[in-house]
Amino acid sequence: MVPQNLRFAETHEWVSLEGDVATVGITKFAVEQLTDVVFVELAKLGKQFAAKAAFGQIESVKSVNDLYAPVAGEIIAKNDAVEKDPTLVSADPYGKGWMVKIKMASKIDYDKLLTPQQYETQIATQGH
Amino acid sequence: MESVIRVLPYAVADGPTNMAADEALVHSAAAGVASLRSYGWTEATLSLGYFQPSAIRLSDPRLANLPWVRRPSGGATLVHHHELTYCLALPAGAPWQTGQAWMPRMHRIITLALAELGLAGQIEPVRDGPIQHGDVLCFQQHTPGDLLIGHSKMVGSSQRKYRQALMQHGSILIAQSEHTPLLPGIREVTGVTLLPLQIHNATIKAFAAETGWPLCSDDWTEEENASIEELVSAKYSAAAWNEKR
Repeated sequence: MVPQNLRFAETHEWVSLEGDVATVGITKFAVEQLTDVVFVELAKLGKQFAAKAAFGQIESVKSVNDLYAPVAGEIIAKNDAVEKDPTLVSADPYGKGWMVKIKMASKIDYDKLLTPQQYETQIATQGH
Repeated sequence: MESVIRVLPYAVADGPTNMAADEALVHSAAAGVASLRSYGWTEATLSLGYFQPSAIRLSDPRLANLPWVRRPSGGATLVHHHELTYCLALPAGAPWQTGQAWMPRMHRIITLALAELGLAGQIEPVRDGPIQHGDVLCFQQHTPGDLLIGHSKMVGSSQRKYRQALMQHGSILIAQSEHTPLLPGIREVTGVTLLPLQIHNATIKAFAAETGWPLCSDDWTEEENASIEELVSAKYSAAAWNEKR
């Protein structure tokens, strides 16, 4: 069961919304597909992103994956702790493993994200 | 849609060109085109994993003066010399990616190919680990799924995902390089001398047999050639990429 208070991108990022600020991380399903996370690299503060642009990279065992911004906007905070200790992503993907906070350009992208039910359907039918 | 995978011709190129070509293939895969290729290197070349610091190549005087390039994929440092390198690029979703991990699957295919070339029964995957026999070189680090002959690693791979398309490339160590005297190759361990094209052809045959997918010989598209040229100059030959860490 995925957290019911979040929205999800098809690329397995989760979004928690407070006002016009979206907190972003990757889902437990994504973490399980990646297995051991060994490196995380996040974009710098102040960087602007279009929705679906890469805001960072993550490496599991020999595999590097892009992290995609689920919403357009500016990075106003990033979780330095996950860059120093990538195991936080695996240990607590919806909590201490959060990655960036994005001040959204508009709410349009958020409204297009998957609901928990839609995301559960996706991960039940589709591999990572 | 029929699951046709195109096979590109064996080629030899320098580090930036090889990495640009592999990245071009994952972009094609993201657009729905699956490809398999194998290649060699014009000279002994060191490649760093995406997250490795560039200073690591200076830790061994035998490596410090080699030409080098940062890979788009993960993992540790490689010296590409007497080896065959393969690259597999697959679109997202079925039939290409169905939850079955491609690292062990491709390694099974390579095992079949090498068996066809006289190494049947000699190749085993690493089952426990990871075990580190050194800090820097990928082939000193044994990760489950890597292929061994005896106690020596002969095949290792790494991956890059791009918009859920997969690019996996890996090295088959044909013979020892003078730059990595601690790493014997197939020739030193088995006494069998293989040519890159022999392995290329056997791998294609084994790939077709294992997947059931039709393979068709093809060449690079004009768009891919232009992309490779751009990636070589703007990324894989540039300090901004290679020395980013």
